Amino acid sequence: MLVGVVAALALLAPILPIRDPLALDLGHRLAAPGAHHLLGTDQAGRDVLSRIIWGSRESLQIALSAVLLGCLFGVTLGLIAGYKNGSILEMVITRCFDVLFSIPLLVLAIALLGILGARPVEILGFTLTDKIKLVGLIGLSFTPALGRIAYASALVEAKADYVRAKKAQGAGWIELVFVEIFPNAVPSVIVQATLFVGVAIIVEASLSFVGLGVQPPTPSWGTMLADARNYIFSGEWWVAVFPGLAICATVVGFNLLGDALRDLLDPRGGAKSTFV
Amino acid sequence: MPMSAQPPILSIENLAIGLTSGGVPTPIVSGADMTIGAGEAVGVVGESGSGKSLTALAIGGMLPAPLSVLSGRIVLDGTEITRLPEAAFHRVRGVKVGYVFQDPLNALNPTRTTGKHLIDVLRRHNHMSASEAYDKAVAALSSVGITQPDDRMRAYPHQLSGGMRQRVLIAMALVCNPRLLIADEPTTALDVTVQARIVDLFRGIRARGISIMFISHNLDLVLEFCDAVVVMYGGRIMEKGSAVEIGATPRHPYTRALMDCIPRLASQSRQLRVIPGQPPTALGKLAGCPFAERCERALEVCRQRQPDMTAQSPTHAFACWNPAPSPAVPS
Amino acid sequence: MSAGMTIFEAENVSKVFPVGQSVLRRLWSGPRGAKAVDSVTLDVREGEILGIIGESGSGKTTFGFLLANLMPITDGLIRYRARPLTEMTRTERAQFRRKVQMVFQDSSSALNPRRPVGKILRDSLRLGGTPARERDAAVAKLLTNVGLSPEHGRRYPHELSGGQRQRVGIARALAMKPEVIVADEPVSALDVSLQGQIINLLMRLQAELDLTIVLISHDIAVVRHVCHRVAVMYGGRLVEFGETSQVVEQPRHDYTKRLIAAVPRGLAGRKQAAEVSLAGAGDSG
Repeated sequence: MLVGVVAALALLAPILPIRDPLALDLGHRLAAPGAHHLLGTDQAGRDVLSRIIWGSRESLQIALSAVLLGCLFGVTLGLIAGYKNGSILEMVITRCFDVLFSIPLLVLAIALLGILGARPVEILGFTLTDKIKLVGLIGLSFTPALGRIAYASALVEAKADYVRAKKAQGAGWIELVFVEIFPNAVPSVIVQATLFVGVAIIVEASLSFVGLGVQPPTPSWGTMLADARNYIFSGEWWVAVFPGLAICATVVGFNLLGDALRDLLDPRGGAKSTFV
Repeated sequence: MPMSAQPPILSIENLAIGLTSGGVPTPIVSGADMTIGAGEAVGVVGESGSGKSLTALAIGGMLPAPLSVLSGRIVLDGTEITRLPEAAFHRVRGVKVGYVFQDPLNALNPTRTTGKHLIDVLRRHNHMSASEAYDKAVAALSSVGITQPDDRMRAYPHQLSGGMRQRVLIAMALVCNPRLLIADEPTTALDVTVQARIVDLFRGIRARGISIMFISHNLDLVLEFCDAVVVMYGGRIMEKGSAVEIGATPRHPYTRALMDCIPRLASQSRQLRVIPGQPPTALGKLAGCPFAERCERALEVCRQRQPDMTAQSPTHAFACWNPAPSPAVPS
Repeated sequence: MSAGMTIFEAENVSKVFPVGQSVLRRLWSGPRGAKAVDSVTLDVREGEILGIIGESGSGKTTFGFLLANLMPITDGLIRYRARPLTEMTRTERAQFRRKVQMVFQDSSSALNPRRPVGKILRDSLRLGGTPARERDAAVAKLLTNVGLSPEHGRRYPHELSGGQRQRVGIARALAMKPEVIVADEPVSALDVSLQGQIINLLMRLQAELDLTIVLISHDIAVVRHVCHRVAVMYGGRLVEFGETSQVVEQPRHDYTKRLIAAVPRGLAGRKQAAEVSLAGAGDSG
């Protein structure tokens, strides 16, 4: 139930918000939470509440896309590597995972964003906006971890009799990997993936904090925190605390969602106990 | 059914094990009555869902939550242990009762050597120095037939064969000189040639005066080795008695059917006998005989009332309204 | 007894499992490791039920996999209807796959836990060449043929009992309309009173569908009842092979004798107290 509420809030937030978050109201800068502005205003007079609500769109968009991307690449490669246990392909894929995993995210971020520049770039007819770069970057950083989980599952499941049986009946490797092994790898991946949504939000926040992520004035929770860092201790606590709370609540919500999803998807309905 | 005049080592009276949900007791095992005398090996035979393992666990106070003893008594070596608090059970388990379970690989910690396993058990129950414990452990290993015990003390579980691991478990169970050894399917995970040797080991243990509760689904094995047999089905005792009597003149239809099902080397027929249907799942119905729906001799009363124990002789009783006729011997 | 023509011939078949070698080393110097199957020579005749008996580690399951071409052999030759497996063309191999099917031992891992039974069977029917519009009916027929009801198709494997799962495994093999079924310990995990149900089912199917069955088991008593001929394996080697009654009543190899002697015989096997030596025999048991 908690899951539902938090997740719903987070997901439904981007319905038409109350106030234009970009509207400056310089006369009311740093106003404390009150009737006029429910959560107060920030240093430029913008309403904190609406910035949080709009910010959720950015943060969630980026986080979810990044995780999805990471899953897409990671899980596919991981499953294949696990299935082809003992082959050169497996070695190559796992080494790639290792390499990617060993590069710290911020270093990767600085490197990639440095190469690609902070402004939209045209490559092969596609416009790589900031957001896409960000998503790609974060997604890439998740790929090895998610991939490893899928790989571990696939290693075990690929040896199971039911896979062998289908193979014995002539199924090709594509069918085996995606129809048989994949559903059995999903639960572990889901749990990690939902944890990663939380991580992605924080990563995005961190990158925005250092100016590598979403650019102002677009609100995102990270930029809000970045902007607010001067005011945490000077008495205008609401500018930082509310975005922070939003991040916490969303991250917890997704973790719980992940747990619930995993249990829901298991046709066995959770742990069984055996008697006698 | 004590074979000697001494008081029994273990006496279970009208034991019921089950859940209590919403204040209503739901028994899984009920009406269990059995005794094990000194130096006697009693085999408890049953298929899945029979309740044999639960009964064994109840003796050591190891029933998994939410199960518990609902009613009845367990008396071990003169002391009632039915509702002992957990702390008191520590002095019972390992000291008065030793347990050996089915799968030796799972029962041993893969990161500890054999020696460590044994020494731990010894020092937990006795005050002794490390070197005393070591010597005792080595002695325990030889007593279960492990050669080169000093070498084996340093071995890890995965370095030992299945049979040897089982011997180690038996050694661990016996090392504090319990009066009763409870073995739950001790040979099921082993090859049949290894099984024969382990059973020989059990014979030796019995000869030392230790009572054995030997739980198995293999009736033939139990008839070969045990002094007395208890046949369970659906949480109740169907028949019990001396092995010779049960083997020669089984009265309960389930015992008969079970015997008929066992494929034997000596027989010629190509079809295997079956008992139609499935064994009951854990929470069976309360009224009537649990075997009624699969029994070819079932009468109306069988489905309505649980049969009482009828004694055929001082050492043979069965619970059946319509038992198989007396002198007939199964082919 | 049925003595049809030879359907399988195994000559000096060996299988080595490379143990703990990296991919590169294996490519460089070839596999080296445990010999799971060591120079086994035997034949399987059409229409018979052949038993392969052995204890754990005897290689019987591995040999079953080799026969069904689920693993490549390291040495020797297996011929199916006079055609060596290694020389088969792609089409021949596809045909072989349909003709020779395996029923696996551990029914809980032999069926994908996340797929309902009906879907599992439908997949097999598809792979076996049954056209789409006939599949639903075929699934129902398969289920009834193995003693289940079509309703069971909606259930997941964990919702079925061990015996029922084993039946589904058999149904899955039958979906390919095979000639040969290699059954790996089909009843080891079942209660004694239920083992007969599965064994009798296999025997009925064999008679109805003209199957050849290779039954792998550790239980010599079951094999004795059901198999025409039996092969005894120990440590990867074939130690005895012949008509079941011969092997059981007049075993020649030492191991076979020990195996038969170790089978519990009920009251007939009760020993006198004096015959027993304390602590049994030493290390290997």
